[in-house]
Amino acid sequence: MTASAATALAPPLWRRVIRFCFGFEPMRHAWWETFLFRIAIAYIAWDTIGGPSRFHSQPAPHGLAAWGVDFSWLGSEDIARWFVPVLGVCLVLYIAFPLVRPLLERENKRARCSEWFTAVVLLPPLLASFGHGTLGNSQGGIDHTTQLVTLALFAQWLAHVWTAVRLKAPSSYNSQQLAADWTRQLVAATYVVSAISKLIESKGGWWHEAPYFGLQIAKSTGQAYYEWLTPPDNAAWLAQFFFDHPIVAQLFIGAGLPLEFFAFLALRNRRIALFYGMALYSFHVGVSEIMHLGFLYHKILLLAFFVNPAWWTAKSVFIFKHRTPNSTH
Amino acid sequence: MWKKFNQWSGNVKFKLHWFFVVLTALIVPVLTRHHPVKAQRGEWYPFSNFPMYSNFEETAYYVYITDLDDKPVGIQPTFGTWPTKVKKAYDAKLKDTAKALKKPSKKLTLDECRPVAEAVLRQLRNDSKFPDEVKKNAGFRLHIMDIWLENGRIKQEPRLVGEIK
Repeated sequence: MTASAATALAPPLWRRVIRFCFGFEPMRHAWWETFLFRIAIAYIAWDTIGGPSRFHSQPAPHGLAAWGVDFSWLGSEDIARWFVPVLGVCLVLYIAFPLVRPLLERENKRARCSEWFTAVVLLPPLLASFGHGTLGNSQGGIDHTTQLVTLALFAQWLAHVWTAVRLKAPSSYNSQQLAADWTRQLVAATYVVSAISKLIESKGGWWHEAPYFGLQIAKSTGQAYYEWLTPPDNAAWLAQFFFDHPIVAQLFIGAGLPLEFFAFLALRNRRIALFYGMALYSFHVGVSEIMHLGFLYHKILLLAFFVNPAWWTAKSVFIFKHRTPNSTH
Repeated sequence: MWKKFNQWSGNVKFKLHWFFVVLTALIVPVLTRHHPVKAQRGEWYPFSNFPMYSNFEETAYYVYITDLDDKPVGIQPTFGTWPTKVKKAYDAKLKDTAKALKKPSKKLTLDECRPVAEAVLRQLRNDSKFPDEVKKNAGFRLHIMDIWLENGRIKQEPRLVGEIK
């Protein structure tokens, strides 16, 4: 085939661009990537369950607590003395076990046992995360800090159970890759759901009402002061600025809506995951600065599962190594 | 029909994602739509429709705490919690009171809000991570800072709601 014939058969540029951005390419992670993912999940899980709860009662039962399940024992110091170390051991096994699995799995039967083992060691941290979150939200107010941590643990646990009962994994993923994929799917879903809520609650007027975000900035600034009694070092001037320049407010705040709404696109390949991961991470950093909200767990999960700097570094090194000899000729 | 649906659903990618979106954006909100506390609608831990900042109102407020001389008290070093959590607890209790009195929470008088503020302060004092810090104060006052827009400028005004000794 001649060069001109090949060019004639090639798809048009716009189609190649769309394919490059949104083409579905299963992310088959290497063992060391999934190892880093597990460290990230274990870290955020430990941060939320590595001690007794501050709460000892369920004055306004929420979720499972409203159905009569009592999680107030998670506030007991006596129980925490033995329960928290058990959770720590479970998380260490969850991180390390897949590394030694290849040595143990010489038979298919053992492979299945390994999946069950991982699912079993994940169960106590998952239930503890569930309990801590439910107990915290049973105090009268709803907090949205740890839902993502519980969901990430749930996705990991579900993937191992799925593989253990030998159900078919999509895209021929192994259990670790499936766990990473499902974790990413749930993280992306929380953003899509948040965008849908904005559209429903504001009856479609969210973008139009964006300048009133200024009042929320004034509120956050005040709250930040009364938290530690230190003057907040933030962008408090933005509060009035948004009312003085409503178009800027609509562009700045409004950009968050499409970003969240189309977060599912980030699941399609590593390139768009990188773009979305960085965009959402930057969005969180901006909101953290202005509103004094942490989003620590969101940031860690975005960094690990979407931005994935370790893989891009490895890929860059690989490309550089294989191009250097040619470029010197 | 079923065969066609099966065929279509077989081609849908990221099924867990979309299942979760339908569950948390539709099913949980529908099942919890009659919850007496508005903030609890759409919530069933860990499933949430994440409604933070989904609706910008034309007024806002936050709560803060002072000692009996109206000197501000750091909420984190004294109670080990955040002002946002104090506000959420206050809001939830206020809505319960409003429901019992059969009137909107915004229409409650100061006398009607006082027991709510006192209950929140008592809960904070009892659940504090730092009881020694709590004991340094003879009592606490809960204030509200109202925020609104007037002639294009942001205005703020505090008001005392309740106190405990």
